[in-house]
Amino acid sequence: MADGGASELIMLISGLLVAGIVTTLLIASWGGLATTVETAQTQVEANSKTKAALAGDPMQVSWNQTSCNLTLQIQNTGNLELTTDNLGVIVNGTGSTITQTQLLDNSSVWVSGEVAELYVCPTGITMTAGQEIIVTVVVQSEPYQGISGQHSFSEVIRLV
Amino acid sequence: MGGSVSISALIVGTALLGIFALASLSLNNSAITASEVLEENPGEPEMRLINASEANGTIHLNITNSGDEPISFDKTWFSIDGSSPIRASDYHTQTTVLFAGETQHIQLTGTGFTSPTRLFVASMGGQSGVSFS
Repeated sequence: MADGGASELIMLISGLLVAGIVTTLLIASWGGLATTVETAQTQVEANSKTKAALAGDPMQVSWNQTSCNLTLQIQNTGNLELTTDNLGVIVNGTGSTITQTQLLDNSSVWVSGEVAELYVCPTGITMTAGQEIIVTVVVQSEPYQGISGQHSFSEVIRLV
Repeated sequence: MGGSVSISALIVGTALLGIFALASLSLNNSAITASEVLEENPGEPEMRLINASEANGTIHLNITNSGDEPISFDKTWFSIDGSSPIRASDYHTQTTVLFAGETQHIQLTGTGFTSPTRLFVASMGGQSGVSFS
């Protein structure tokens, strides 16, 4: 009887230990999963708050082949502040260099509604006035809950 | 023996139920976030430049809000003949908002343009353009 009680006690303790280990493992796994989901969720939220659009006339975009200068005006149409340090412009599928960026109307930060003027040099392509091309602009927001949002848009423009 | 297995099963079962509850909470949070995101993105404003003319350096234009959200002139930019955009509220101070369904006559004075040919307006993703008459 006493032996039976002792073995039952051992089995109970063993069972509790195993259950505890399993529970710890499951909770730890869940913690990692929850963190991953939360990060992905914040990224989606940051991306959805990051928006931009062309503010200049797409029918009359200034282009100077000699000085390699395409002038684009981009408005922050999202909710988050955008950064002027991380911008990308693709002209007719060709990567371009942004030679200068300035905010219009004496703005100091690129918050919602403000417009930035970009001077872009598409590398190694020849374009002429009247030509219609596709530009793709990629913008990035300042960190939102530690994560930066991204947004890109493409638009057909006509050069003058 | 049987008692210890039952207790262990009870503990593991409780832990699994707890994890399921946490998963449900997380799913609920995701749904709430998604709905908040949708609410924060009402879509692009819809506007239309009806006509534009220039007289003695002043640009006259009629603009209508054909969408269902008010349009702030502080976030509305005009571009004349492809020039750098100018903020509407810098030149038009009589009103600050173009309400849904409203048409306003706006005068832009001191833009420096004489005999312009085309006017373009952009506001938070909404666009419209018109030739001067």
